[in-house]
Amino acid sequence: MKRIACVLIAWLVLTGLASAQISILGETKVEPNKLVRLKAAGATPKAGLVWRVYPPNVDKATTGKGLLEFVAAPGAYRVELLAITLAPDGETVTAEAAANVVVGGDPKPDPKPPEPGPGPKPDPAPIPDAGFRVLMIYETAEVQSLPPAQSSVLFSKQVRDYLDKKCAVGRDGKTREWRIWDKDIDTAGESKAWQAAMGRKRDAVPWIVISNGSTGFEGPLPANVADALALLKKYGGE
Amino acid sequence: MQTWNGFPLINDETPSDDLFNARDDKGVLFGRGYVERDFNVYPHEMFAPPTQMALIDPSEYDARIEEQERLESSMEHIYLGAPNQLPRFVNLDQASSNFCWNYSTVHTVMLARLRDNQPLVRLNPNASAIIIKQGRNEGGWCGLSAQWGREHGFAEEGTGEGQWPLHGMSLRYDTPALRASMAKYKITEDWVDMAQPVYGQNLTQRQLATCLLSNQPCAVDFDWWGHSVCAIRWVKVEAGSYGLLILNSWKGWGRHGLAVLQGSKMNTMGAICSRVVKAA
Repeated sequence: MKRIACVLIAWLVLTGLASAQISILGETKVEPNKLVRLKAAGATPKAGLVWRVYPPNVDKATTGKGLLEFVAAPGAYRVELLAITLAPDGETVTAEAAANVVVGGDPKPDPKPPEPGPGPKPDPAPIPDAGFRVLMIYETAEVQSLPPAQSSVLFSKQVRDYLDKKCAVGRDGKTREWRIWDKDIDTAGESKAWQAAMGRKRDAVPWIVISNGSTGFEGPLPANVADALALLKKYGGE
Repeated sequence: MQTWNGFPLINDETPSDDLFNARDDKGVLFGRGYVERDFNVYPHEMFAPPTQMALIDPSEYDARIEEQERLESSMEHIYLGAPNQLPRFVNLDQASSNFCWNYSTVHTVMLARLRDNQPLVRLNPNASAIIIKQGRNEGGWCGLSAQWGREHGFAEEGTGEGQWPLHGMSLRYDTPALRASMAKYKITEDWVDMAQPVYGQNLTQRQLATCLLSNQPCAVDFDWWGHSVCAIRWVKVEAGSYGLLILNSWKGWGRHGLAVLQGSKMNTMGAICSRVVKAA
């Protein structure tokens, strides 16, 4: 077949759970102004299916169960599929699959939340005060549009427990020195250290600032709780 | 009373006596204070919701709730985050006053501070209620207290300078020091239908669900109950049926002040969401 790119039907990138394997079928590369057509495979007929596209600025068509169709500007898109079923004991079971789709010619940068990598500068400490301090910054008006795995970093018990255990104690003698703030929060009533941390240059939100008084990290918020904990432990210890 | 996950479940089958004649441990009737809407005085308005809010699709509710359970990341988990699943602070107590409409909004501010890991400060909704009502023990709406919270902030509970004593009902506590302290606890960003008068500011259920699934607490008014409380989480009661996990301002009521409203009992007549509060 000569129309190599257009007719290639492939199993796309899968991250499905071992216990309930589902997948996304469809074309990996779609020409500009053409419909992206994806199909769920492997889900039981009674499963509830949830499609998510990141970034979310695409026009979805109304389609039948198990289908996702959308039109989007040229670029790279990550599509996630959740299949939710009820187990015999009444518990819900979720299976996941994901695919990367490119619309048009050269894709724009990967829409996935950037992984904490070697790019951002590790040194010197972004908050000069002694002790472990962490600041996460996000836009509260748009938190619902973040990938749920990433927004969970802001709220998960595992992350909060770690910060409660490792962070320095604040000026009231009780509150641990970590904050999770909206990007536009008014910090006039906070300490100079937090005001300075909030005033540091950042390239985007959600963002994280980690400091142990001698070194630290500033960069995009990790994509999930496991990555966040690994990054925190690098500067705050186990 | 029925329960769900250990919380009282309030739905269309709940005996009204359980709700309208609830009393504290001394036998005193709990106050409420939402002003039931007299449409001759407060006419019905067209609903113009905050249009900038990107809504979570209802098809995602189950997956998001499941994710919150798995990672213990909901506002319920954060509030009940002290050892042994105890609350991080004891819920505020309006006693027999008619100030529920201030307590609901002030609870949203305390919960937002808890979520942000601000130092725990016990706020006192009596201050703003007494000042707004010029000393009268009168009902109101959460939209009214939210307006005050945006413009002036809320008072600390206490007997020191610039604080308002627990259950204090006198305007003599309204001093310049109090006003200066209140300014530290302002609501700076919220989801409110500003096109409506304070008695008509409401959110749709999808807006409420979006706010609550994003851990943004909401003050909610109920005409059927004549009461205003704080909604902290969007919960799945059973397949296809969702509810509001609410924090009441009645001491010793529910499980740590929490209960679940389901069915027609979760239809709000007023609702506001405090998204961002001043850091202090």
